[in-house]
Amino acid sequence: MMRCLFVFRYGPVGGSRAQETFDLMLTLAAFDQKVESLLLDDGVLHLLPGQQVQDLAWCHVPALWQELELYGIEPPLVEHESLLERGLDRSSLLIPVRVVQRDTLPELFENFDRLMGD
Amino acid sequence: MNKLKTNTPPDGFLKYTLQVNASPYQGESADLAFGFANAVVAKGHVLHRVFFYRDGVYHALGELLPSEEEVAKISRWSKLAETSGVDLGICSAAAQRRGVWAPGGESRLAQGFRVAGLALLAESIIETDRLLVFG
Amino acid sequence: MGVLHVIRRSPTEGKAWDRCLERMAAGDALLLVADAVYAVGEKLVNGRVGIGEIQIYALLPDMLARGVGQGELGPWVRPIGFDGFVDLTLVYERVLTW
Repeated sequence: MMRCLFVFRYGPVGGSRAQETFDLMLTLAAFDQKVESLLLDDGVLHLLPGQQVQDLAWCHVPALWQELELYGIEPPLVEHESLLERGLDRSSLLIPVRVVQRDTLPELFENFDRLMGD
Repeated sequence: MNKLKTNTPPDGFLKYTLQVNASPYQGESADLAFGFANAVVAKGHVLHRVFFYRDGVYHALGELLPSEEEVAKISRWSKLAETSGVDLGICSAAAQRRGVWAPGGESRLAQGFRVAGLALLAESIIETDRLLVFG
Repeated sequence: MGVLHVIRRSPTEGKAWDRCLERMAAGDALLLVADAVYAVGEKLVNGRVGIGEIQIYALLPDMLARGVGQGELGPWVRPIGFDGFVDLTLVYERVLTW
């Protein structure tokens, strides 16, 4: 089994980055691979509550995160420092997450076979 | 033909999947991918598949006509496919979204490219020793 | 083995360098490509590479294209070609681009 970590580092709105990263993540999950997600830097903004669907957006990113559980994917890993830098904490996020410290990331990466950027 | 052409690399060599997310004229990611792809083949590894995803699907546009002095950013992949046998896949959903391909529109694609689902990329990621993502 | 981090952006553009370096650890490697090779002149990286035992490489064709690296290489950076890039992926199974 391949262990894949999807690393989200960019904000959720604009373009097809989020949707197309999700599509690959869910496809790998459908192949029974171990798939997890890690939110860093502006990636943590994916989980900001109150995002409204606009006509311009063809994809509502918060809904994608809320559906993760249905695919048997664990709650996202979120970097503590990235939250802090943006004045956020886990309780202000859209869904339950697992918080990790920045200096533990290299160790975390060792648990995966593939790192996939967004 | 001398030997059976297999897709299994000899000992000490690896099997690669490349995922190209950038369009041919967007920054240098496509050039980086091509340089890497060439080196994989030159070093005797197996370049199993290059999968063009996101804006990378623009690589399959068969009607791009760069001027003669320009690097042939599309045909160089077609040539690599011809000489190395690498499979060039483009994501059907990403390609449809961008008007690069529609069902029945295979004849518009550049030589050597084929349309496939994301499952093909997932399968490659699972089956090969290395994944490199460009763009 | 650690992670091969590939960085594309110029060290003076945005925060990509900090973001990448802060997620690296001893045993990782850093490969500079595209505008990131502007950092091969020592001055640009002062204070950035004191992060322990990481290996740093720069893609030679991208250096040549930009006219950098003639006689101004920091001792810590090793120019490599695409074949060297492939060799790095034999050692480092995981690659992350910034």
